[in-house]
Amino acid sequence: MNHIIKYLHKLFLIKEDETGTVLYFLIFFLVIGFGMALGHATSNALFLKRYGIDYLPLVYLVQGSACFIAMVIYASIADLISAEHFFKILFTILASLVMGFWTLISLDTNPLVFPAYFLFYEVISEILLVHCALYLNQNINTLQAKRLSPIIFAGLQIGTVLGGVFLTTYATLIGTTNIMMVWFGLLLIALFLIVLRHKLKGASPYFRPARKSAQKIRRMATHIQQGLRFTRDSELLRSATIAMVFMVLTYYIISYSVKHVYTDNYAQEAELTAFFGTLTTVTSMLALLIQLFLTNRLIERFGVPTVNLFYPIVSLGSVLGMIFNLGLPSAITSSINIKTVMPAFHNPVRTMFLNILPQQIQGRARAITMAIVLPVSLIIAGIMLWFLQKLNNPLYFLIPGATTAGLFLYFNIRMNRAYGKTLLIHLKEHLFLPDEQSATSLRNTGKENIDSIVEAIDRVDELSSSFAHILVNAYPEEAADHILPAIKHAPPNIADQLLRIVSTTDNPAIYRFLIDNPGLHDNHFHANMLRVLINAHATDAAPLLQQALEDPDPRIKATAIHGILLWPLQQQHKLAVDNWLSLLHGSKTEQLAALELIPDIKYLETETRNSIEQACLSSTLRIFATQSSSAKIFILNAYSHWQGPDNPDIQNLICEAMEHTDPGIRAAAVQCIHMIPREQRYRRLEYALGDGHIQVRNSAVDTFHKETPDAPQLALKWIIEDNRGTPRAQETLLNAIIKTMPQNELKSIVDNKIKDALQIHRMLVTLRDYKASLNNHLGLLKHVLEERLQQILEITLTALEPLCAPHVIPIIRAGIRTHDERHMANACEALQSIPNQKLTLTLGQLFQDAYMPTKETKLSNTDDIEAVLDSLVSRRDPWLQECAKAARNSFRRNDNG
Amino acid sequence: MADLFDRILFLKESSVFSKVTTDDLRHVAQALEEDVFFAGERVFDINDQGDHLYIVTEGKIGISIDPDPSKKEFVAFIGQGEAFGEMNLVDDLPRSATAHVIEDTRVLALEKSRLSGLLLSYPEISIGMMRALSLKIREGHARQVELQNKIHREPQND
Repeated sequence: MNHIIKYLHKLFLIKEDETGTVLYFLIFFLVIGFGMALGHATSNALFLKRYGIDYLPLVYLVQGSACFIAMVIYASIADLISAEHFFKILFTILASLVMGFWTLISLDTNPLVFPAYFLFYEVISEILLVHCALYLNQNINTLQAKRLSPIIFAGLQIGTVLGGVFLTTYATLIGTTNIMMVWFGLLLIALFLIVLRHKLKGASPYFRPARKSAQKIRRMATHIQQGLRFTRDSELLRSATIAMVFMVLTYYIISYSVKHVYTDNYAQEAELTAFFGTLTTVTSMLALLIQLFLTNRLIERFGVPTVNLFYPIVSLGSVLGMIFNLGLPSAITSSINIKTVMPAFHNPVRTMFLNILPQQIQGRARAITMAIVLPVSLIIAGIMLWFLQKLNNPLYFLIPGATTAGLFLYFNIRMNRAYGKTLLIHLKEHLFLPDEQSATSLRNTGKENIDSIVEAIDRVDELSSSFAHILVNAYPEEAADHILPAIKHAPPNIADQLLRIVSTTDNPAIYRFLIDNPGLHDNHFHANMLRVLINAHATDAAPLLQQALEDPDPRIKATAIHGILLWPLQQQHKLAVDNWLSLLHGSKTEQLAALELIPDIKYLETETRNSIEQACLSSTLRIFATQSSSAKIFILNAYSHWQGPDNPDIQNLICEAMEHTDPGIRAAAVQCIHMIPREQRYRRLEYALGDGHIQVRNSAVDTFHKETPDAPQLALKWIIEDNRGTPRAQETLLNAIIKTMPQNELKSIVDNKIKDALQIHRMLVTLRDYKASLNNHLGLLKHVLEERLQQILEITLTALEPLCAPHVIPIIRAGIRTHDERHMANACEALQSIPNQKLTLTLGQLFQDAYMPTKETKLSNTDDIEAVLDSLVSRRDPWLQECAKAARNSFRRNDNG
Repeated sequence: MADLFDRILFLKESSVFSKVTTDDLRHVAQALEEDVFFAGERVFDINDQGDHLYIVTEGKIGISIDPDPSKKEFVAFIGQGEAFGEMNLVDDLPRSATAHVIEDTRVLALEKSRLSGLLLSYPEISIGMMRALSLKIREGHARQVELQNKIHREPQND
């Protein structure tokens, strides 16, 4: 059983401590989805059978305005109160209304109750869906949302499917009206679930009430106004908006037509309800399966624009199908189109379309969709159907339906074109490189976009390389054809960048181009061009290498030597080695170029190797001190590949470089740690791991991994058993291995560090309680101990982080960093939520004593100050040890004095 | 003569470096230079171009904000362990006050260009300094609010 639960956690990316939350939301959404399926079927069946489909267009007219008003009211209050509070009010009102409708329908008082119930469902279903998303957002953070939203929202779909199954089975048995009571029951269950959840867990953690403002409506009006302006200026938004209008018209014409067919085919109200149940089951199940297994794969395979055309094409097809044969099969096909294809393909793709627009435009675009496009389209659909149905022939509204579906398809094609262009404009503005999905999308937007990209590359300015990246990602097979001509007329620095980018496509045309144009640009470009040919093993370039060996430029010559040794070209081997030696004895620039070849020493035979190694060492000692920082880094980088003999002078040089003020030099020197005596290596590495610059610390971590066969185990030994190095060094090591560390080892770090922090705290208390005034050395030691206590607690929290819920540790850190009482109180509260109470009990006591001391909670001190100093001197933290030694000496002097 | 540990302690107890860890203050301490000023001298004048921060290890300094640097109307006194001239390490504006030497004074001076080099080499020093300066601004705000409240209360009492 445990095995299955673990498998499910892994499959759905749910962390152990999230199980309860996911389960709750899944059940809660399932209940809502179930209820919505019942609401949909009952409202439709009752309206169509008892009031008449002839009034449906009129209801659409009213629905347009009702949805708009409801959404405006919802938007103005939704962010003022917590989502659960809103749900409680909503469920209470809904349950009362459903009960009210049931009573009125049962008493058979007024036929107007049917359109009212129909309208009620249509409006409320929109609000429920929007508010479910808001409620979830207030309960999970962004990172959780990425993982958990799909599985939680699947609850809604599963609920709808179950609702459909229920209707199919029981509608004919208990009757349509009584099914409303089941919905009423489900609303009460949802209300109970939400009340219980928030009674046990408190308010939604991510709810932040918005400020009450009377200007909300005015602000919304401004957003709509701005949205209209954006729509006027953006071709993508314009096409998307017009497409949306035609989509709504098509949707409601199809919806009206199929309802007509269903009403004619099912004489009994309960039969119709049961049919709606079956239809809901099938369409929801299909939508769920397609969303889970097909949508993303198709988008990845064909790109956003191609998938965007699925729904319009199927819509046109289904309307045409109904024109030719308006019967149950064509109506069911059309229902599947609007209930399955639309949610599975059209909705996610539309979101992706809008996502390429800047954030502020997206919000306003959604505002005009909600406030103008949907209501206006609904009203137009209502008016159209109202007039057309008077002609009493379904063909009269299916033909305009086919026209709107055609226009819907046409504007989607325009939208696709605009998408490519907008993507390019956006890239121009932000200069980000497109991910795989954007590249796939760009690939499917047509030839004119390649022309735009090529035009941008041809301008050979600083943006050209960004566009070259785009071209290489979107059209790798054609990139070389367009970029190589630009390389010819680009300035040398841009040509260099373009060459690096295009060479990633590994197209033989690039190598032919370079071999045919050996004299392009400056020496720097020439050397890079040779490197590209060498790395591609373009053997046709062998004559170029021979020529380059004679080149007066040391960089070109060194590149040629590299190529000859790497491939290898045996005939030129001796000449290459001679040239290398001559460079090592040449000018400073020549020596630098020759030292870059140190990694190539491995290709030499023993005899030549010795002479080259000696020459490299001599050259380094000659020029190192006179070089700039970047040249020093360059030389040290080359030495990081050194496999030759030890040299005391070079060792001194590296040790000095490790203490250089330039962090770049320190970082490069750490990479050469294998050249210094073995007994010094780990001590030096320990210093580097605690360096004040992150670049040096990262370099030390790399070297630690290279130098140590079982790096994680040694790191663990340093942190736990030896307690070696400064806390900063230990934190660096911990961060480097934490991702691969098993939970039990993390626990032992936490356990060990809590004990260590406790010990430091006791020593600190002893120092503070020391009756005589502290001399300077003891005074400094007190500061160092305070810092160490804080730093050790930080390490503890780093190790604790993967063992508890994500929001817990930041709360605790805020407490120990600020020492603010409120933050400390929150930190102590947050500690309670960590599952392993054994670990956290002592930590909580330590927090109390160190940061919120009272007489009752005070931990005992160690009393003897000399014992404290002795203990500190024996620690393997070099700086703390140094301070403790100085303090002990001065303490003894004072004592003797 | 202050040894390295004394210097670090002075730095740690000065407001501008109080939030920098002692591990990093070792590098700052090594960049400090000792200097001596005698009673009656001026360390710097108002509107001078400042390029040093000073920490008093012994003696007393009086701070005057009068535009005439020779006037000795002090608004504050700086004693042992306290720092002055620290704002010039961050901004490039001229000195906002004159520092008069009241008693023979021994100081530790930190040159701005050396600090800039240290900040590039050990960036966590600047984070600590930012924390300390932020604390100072908060304290300043609190004092301002307190003063405003006092001013508002006084007319009512009258």
